[in-house]
Amino acid sequence: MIRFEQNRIYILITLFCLVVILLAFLQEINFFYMFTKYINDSGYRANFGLAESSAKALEFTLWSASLYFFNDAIKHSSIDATIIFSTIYFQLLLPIISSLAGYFFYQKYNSIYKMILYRAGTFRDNVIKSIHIESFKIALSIFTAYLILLFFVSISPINNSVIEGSRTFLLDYLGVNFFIHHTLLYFLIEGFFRFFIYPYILAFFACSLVLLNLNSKAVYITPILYYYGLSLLMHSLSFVFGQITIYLNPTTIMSSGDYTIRSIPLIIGAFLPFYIGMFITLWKTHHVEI
Amino acid sequence: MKRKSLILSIFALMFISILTTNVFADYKSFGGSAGFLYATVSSPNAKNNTDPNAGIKWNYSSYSNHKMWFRIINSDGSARGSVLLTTTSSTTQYFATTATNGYDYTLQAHRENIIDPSTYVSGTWQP
Repeated sequence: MIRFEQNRIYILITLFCLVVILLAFLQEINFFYMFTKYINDSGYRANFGLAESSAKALEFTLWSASLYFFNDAIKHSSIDATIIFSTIYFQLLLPIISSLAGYFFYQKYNSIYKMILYRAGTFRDNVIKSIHIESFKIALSIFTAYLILLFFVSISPINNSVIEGSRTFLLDYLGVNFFIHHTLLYFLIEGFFRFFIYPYILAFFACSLVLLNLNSKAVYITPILYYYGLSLLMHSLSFVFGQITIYLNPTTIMSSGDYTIRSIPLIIGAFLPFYIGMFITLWKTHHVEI
Repeated sequence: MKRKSLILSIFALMFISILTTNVFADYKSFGGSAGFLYATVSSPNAKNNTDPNAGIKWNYSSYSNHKMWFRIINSDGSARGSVLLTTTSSTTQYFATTATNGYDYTLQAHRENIIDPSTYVSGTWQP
């Protein structure tokens, strides 16, 4: 029970991610379009269900029309488009969620918990370990939501066909055939980078900012500004320097299908906040002993 | 002998007409702006063939060198096939759909990355 209380916030983060995934999925299958049209457009309502049939088999209500549309959309969805677009809003939300680790670490660091950091072993080792734990918890919360999505996709009647070129990340090593024949396994590996490693990196960066004695708002907002700011900057610079800028653009790893990329430079570029975070941590914990 | 030649000529004409018939004869133009969210870029276009593939010739974009998602939806709004095109092209690209002969479909487009600007695209297509 105590463990549940302690981890309640992480469970809430997972639930929030699941809600975002569900809303994005409904948007991808055009559910909101159907729903609003059905309520507001009498012509649409009268012809609903006749899109590919001349005989209307059912008298629809809003509820049955929604169910009909949902089932029909799932049958005709492809597995890769479903996963890609159900997680598309994490391009926006990932830094907002990951930075919470910085806020949580700030609360700990500025409480009695800080004494624990001094008590056992070296201060540096304990700080780094605490930051890793905080980052791990946030990353795991997000990745758990992604795993639940993969589970539902794997048991749903979604079409197993994939769209050529819809993903490029890691395929320079795994090969396109791996993507076509082991699509779910590919998305598990790719998702591990997108929804575990990358949030971990951003969370680590956020936590390291606590050591700079910033206030809690600055700790929370700085990684978000880094993510959005660098995205916009790299996007602007892409008109001058071309495709090379995508490797420093934080949103690239979240939407690799948009580019033709090489994976290793992308991973190196994605680790940039981690290098900064590690530098800050090592610098600010240098010779801090009691 | 004359009758045999006549029959052969008829078969030859039929063969030539089959070869030269374009199964995607009902191409219509499309054009519209799309960004991060799917946007409709065409008016409804009837599918007048039994080929499971749709054809699209994306020949203009207001930005160069980018990928674009296209999908066709039926009149209920449900998707029947998607394709990710890597660049504008003067040739037709075909993609698998589950569209049905005799019904209307609409073309939608969007770009994947949230920082991708709204982009005007145009070309021709046939469900």
